[in-house]
Amino acid sequence: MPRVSPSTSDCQEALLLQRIAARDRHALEELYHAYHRRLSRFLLRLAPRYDFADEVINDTFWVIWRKAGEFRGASQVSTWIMGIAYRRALRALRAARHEDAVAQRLRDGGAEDHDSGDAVATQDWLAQAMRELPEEQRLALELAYFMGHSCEEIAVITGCPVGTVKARMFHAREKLRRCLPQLGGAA
Amino acid sequence: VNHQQAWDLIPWLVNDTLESAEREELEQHLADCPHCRGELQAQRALLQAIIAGPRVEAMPRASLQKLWARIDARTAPSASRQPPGPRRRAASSWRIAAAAGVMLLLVASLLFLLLPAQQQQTDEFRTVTDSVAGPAGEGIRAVFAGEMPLQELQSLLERTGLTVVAGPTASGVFTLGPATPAHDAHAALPALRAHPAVRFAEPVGP
Repeated sequence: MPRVSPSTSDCQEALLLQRIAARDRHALEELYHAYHRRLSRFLLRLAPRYDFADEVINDTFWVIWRKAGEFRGASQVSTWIMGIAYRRALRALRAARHEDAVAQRLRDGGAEDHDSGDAVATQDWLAQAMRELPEEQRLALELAYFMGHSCEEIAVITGCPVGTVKARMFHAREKLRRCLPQLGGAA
Repeated sequence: VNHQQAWDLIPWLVNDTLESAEREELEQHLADCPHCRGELQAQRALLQAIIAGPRVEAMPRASLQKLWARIDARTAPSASRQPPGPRRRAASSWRIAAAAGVMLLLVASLLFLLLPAQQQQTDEFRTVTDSVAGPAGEGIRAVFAGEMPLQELQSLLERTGLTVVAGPTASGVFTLGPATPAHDAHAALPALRAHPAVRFAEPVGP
């Protein structure tokens, strides 16, 4: 699991932000390479399209390039960066929602049934159920289970109270409950 | 913790981010609550399924180049305004040439300061002694210390009657030419080489 970096690397990343604020291009590249893999894996889970991941990552680093000087250490650097990526991803997902809904309806017209019960079909079913969650609930679940963030970190990343994060997780869990019997076999 | 609080804490036990005090309280509740134990198992299965999902990796290099293109396009707007548009010919032409030279120097220096290391891998490799297709006539190829302040570079060029004709290349090489036809670029070489921030200065061309 890509857990939050320990404090030594947080210090190093804070120093990178200082250098970025001073327009040090090497520092931006260093941070970019450190985060690209983590962010692209996260984003490609949300939408398996490279152009989407690319756009959100570069939007995120465009903000970092301009706002690095505003980082005050109120949170870990990784949480701050995830917060920027979260807002960009949420906006891009919302913008694509209508488009995807239309595409989904078209796909459903000629969709094949994945009812073989094998691992691939289970993944498809879970992926489909995840796509049907409201964006905020899905993102809370991905941030917790895929990215391994704590409840408090997700509250900072999403700019919500801890109670809201818990409520989103609660609703996401309820909606995914119908997948659980199948997942039980994979546990 | 009561049942509802325990229920809400389960995901964070599953992803191992609970504080030890909360973890202990939750574990106490779990020992007495089969309903929460079932949910714990279900959420562990969900986490396993999520992290076992397909992992597609993106390659950062091409994306990073797009980012630099975007940053360069938006943070150095003066570069896109080069060359300056046609102007009235009322002012003496060498003054205009000098002003354009200063502008070019500013832009070139800005590009030099912002030069991405990345480009060094993608640009055509070129050494400082290779010949480059440049303006005809005499010139100087020079490399300045990275820490040389812009003002100092400007005043050095003014003193030596030089102007930036081309560059910097990805490896930081500037091509310098005479600031006006009255100046002799090659005559400026000794003064240029004597400056502590000039790393390299050689004549170009015939």
